[in-house]
Amino acid sequence: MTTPTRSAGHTAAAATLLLTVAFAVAACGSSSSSPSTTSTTPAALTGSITVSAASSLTGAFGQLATTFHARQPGTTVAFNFGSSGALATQIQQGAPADVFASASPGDMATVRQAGDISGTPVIFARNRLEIVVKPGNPLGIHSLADLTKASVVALCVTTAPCGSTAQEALAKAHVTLPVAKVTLGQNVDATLAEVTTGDADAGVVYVTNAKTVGAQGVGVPIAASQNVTTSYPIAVVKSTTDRTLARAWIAYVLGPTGQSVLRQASFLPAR
Amino acid sequence: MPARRRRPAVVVVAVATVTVGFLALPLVGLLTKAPWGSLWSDLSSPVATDALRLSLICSLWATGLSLVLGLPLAWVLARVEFPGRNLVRALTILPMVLPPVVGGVALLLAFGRDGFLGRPLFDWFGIQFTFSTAGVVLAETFVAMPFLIITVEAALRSMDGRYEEAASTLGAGRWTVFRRVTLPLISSSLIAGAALTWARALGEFGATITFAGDIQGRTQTLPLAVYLALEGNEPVAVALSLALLAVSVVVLVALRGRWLGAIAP
Repeated sequence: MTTPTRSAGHTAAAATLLLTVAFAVAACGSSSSSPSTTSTTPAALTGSITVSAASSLTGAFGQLATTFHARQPGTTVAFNFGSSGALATQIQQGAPADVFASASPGDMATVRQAGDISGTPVIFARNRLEIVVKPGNPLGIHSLADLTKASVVALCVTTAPCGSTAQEALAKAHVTLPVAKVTLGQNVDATLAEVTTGDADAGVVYVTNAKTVGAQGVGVPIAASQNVTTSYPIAVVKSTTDRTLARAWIAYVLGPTGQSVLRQASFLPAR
Repeated sequence: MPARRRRPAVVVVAVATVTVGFLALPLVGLLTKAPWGSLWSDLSSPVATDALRLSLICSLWATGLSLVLGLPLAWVLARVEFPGRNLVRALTILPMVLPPVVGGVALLLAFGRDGFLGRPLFDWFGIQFTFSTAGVVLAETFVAMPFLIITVEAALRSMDGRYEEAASTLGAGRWTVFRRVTLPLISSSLIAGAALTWARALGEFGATITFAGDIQGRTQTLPLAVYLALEGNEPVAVALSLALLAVSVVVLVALRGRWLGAIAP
């Protein structure tokens, strides 16, 4: 850059430089307020958010966080996984969360009624139930009715969506499991672990969990007439400290990458 | 006659006051949030009564087992010189310092149906510890027994051996010496040790939930019931917590000064 030695030349050059910089900043800054239809994430975000998400989303959201970070290296997405009932209680008690992804519309409605949700929740996925048994299915369990053959069945607590939907499915199948045979898991991951690493003979978890068992278990599908579908709403928490990033994460989950990852994990589409 | 004591430094007293606050405030919080109005109905709900009954039975069994299995070991550690004694003593203290959930995982790997001890037990005898009340007792004994062993061992070491010598010189057999001389001499430490063991067994959570699962009426002890009730049934959770707090206070008051003296090596 050639600079004139006279002071007037200095001023002119400085003014031009400033104007150029100002234009560049204005051009970059304006793109973040309206996401385009082809790309769901705006340019160069920074900040960090905490996403309180249902346990069943551990795998899919973990994967999405990696790809999101690759696209937006200046951001950090931290997760707080747990049963939707527990997460709802935490948010109502003021736990710092920016996004809430629940496994049941009921828990989202509870938080919304308490005034802790900003905007309208959007359903981003659905899930169904599946039975998981020990490798090789030694007890020959092929339906919910066969669960009575098991000496111990793992179910989620009823304050978790996987627990309340499991109770619904059992009621639809007219199966009553004696209390002395049921061990309760605080969330769907804990329930699954009772079968894969513990000694429970069978457990009722989501289809997405059954897909992850590998050699440690076998999935047994539940008849469509008895199965229960649960919808997953996602929303921004009112007390969020970074609304832009929270909205960007939700847009990412709803966008093509997010939906593709969820589909691969065996989640059903929102509609 | 004690000499005239100097007043402690203000800083020391100030910090001590803060510490008392730190320890007391959570308990005050528990007391203020207690559902005093519905306390009786909360404690008589099926979940609560099952948990109370189960906790009482399992903790008493665990204390009994700790006495039966722990006393001989305490004796050997205190009275018998053998190579590796320090190692054995460290082993007996290990469950005390091990995080309880780690203890639960270890028990699962040993006594679970696929465990190296659990598999033969299940295949040959049909015995399964996981998800059973016996499993709860096993887990509680594992974490609580060390309290009894080190308390009794300390007492045996520090007691005056001359009474036992005198008794055996006068013709008393070993069992008589133990029953009539040793036991009475260590009785206060033994009681303190048993009380600590019982309290520890009563409060066990991590090992129980990992090894024995969470089955109402069968393995859902008080701490597990509190954990479960926290979601969606907070009054019952607080009521049960109060019950556990009351038990702890009773144990401490009953032991009074002996508690500290008993566990000091």
